Amino acid sequence: MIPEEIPKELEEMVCEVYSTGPKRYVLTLSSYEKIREAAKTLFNNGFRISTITTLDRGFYFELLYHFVKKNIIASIKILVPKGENKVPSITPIIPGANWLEREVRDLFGIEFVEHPEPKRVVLPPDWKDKPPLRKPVAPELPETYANYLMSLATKAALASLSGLAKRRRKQMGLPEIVTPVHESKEVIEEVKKISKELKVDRKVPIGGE
Amino acid sequence: MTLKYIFYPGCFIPAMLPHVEYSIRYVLNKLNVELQEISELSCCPPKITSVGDFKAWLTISARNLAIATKYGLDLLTPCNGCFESFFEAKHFIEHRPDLARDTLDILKKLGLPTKIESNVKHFVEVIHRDVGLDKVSENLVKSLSGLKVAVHYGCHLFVTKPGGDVWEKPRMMDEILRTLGVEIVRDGLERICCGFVISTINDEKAILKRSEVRLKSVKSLDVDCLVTPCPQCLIRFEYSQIKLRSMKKVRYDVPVLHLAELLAIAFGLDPLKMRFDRLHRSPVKQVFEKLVKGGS
Repeated sequence: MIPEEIPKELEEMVCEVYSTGPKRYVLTLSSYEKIREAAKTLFNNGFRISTITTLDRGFYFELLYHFVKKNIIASIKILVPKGENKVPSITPIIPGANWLEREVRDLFGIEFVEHPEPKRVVLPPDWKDKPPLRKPVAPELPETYANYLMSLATKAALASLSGLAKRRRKQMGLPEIVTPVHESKEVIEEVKKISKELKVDRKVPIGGE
Repeated sequence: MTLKYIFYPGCFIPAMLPHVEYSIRYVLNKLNVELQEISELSCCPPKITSVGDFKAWLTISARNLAIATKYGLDLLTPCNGCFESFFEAKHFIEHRPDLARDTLDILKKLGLPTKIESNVKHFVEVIHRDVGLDKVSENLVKSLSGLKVAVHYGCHLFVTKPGGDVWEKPRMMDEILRTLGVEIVRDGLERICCGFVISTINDEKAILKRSEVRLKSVKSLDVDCLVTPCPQCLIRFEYSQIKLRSMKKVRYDVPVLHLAELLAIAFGLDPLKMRFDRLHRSPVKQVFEKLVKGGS
């Protein structure tokens, strides 16, 4: 799974790898909490940090730490839920990341835990507004589609039987339970599991385990 | 021989149209079609969810088809949206291994078959092709002759295999109606979208640019009602008429009925006794009265 140019030790931390060109790899970490360990591994194997880019995906941030070694570029991707809003700082390992993390902190409001110098670097000291590139917490998808997806992943159905519908069904002698609006716990759990496996929870919040 | 299917009414019919579900069950019972009800199925889900996540749509739809395969039965659905979703999911599984790889992996992990053998059949197909019009004729207790209708098939009744005959199922619906003695009046707008899907983005546009276009045309046809085999079209045309009264102070008063209701009436069901008119949001009572009093 890990390309030969990338240290093998990353294998256990990474859940997805893809290439965007020759010697150009994007590696997604299974947890944002592993960023310091991943940075340390790369740094100890001759990679240097080039920059950090950040995307506001609505209810999570996507951070890309771009590492370079000769003509190889390895971008380490982490997804940080807005509810968490904090990432372990890599500056204690790689001092060159100092200003990069501070820039992300200024523009997106993400805290870098154990950063040795958490001061403003881009924004003026008297800036009182919200971080300028931080968007409100919202699904990345248009509301309608996000609602559909969320309903599907959390209820296994887009509609449910209201009290009135249940009464009418009873009056007409229709079955009380009917596919697919039966609200079966097992079905809901299975659909939720599928949604999690397909990473739908990166697009819409679908709740815990 | 008894025909047997897994019954998949979809969300809208059980939740919002109990009279349609009652009619469907009544008709299928009369035609000796056995319905297996299973609780393992989830939302189809509608193809529109693929805009949000294609793989989630495909996998959840394929899961339902795989469960049907496990039972060795086809799915019978009276919902155009569910029909489209299952039909297309099966197509992707069979013809696009590049897009279906993750889906098949998940089905395997869930212990479900990865070779989807079950098909989805629309209510219209089951009545016309599997049961047959001869059997429909045998069960008629009341001719609906004298009833003039406009038809609205619903976009997804036109869904078929690439290169297939998109008019096959709509034609089937016409033939079913003619078997009941119904006269179909055309206006050439039978394929226009009712506005249901558009309404998820812009309700006003859906009403003014879609529903009203068709309602205005149907009104000018001087028919007794508009008939559809699609729950979404039924809901939309009834709801849009209510909205148009407040939006534009326009009354169309076009009664909108589901195909299954007409079949059930022709098979002997009394919609007034069942108070179906109270469950509709369009003025259907006059049509029911005409049908109950008239005919043979």
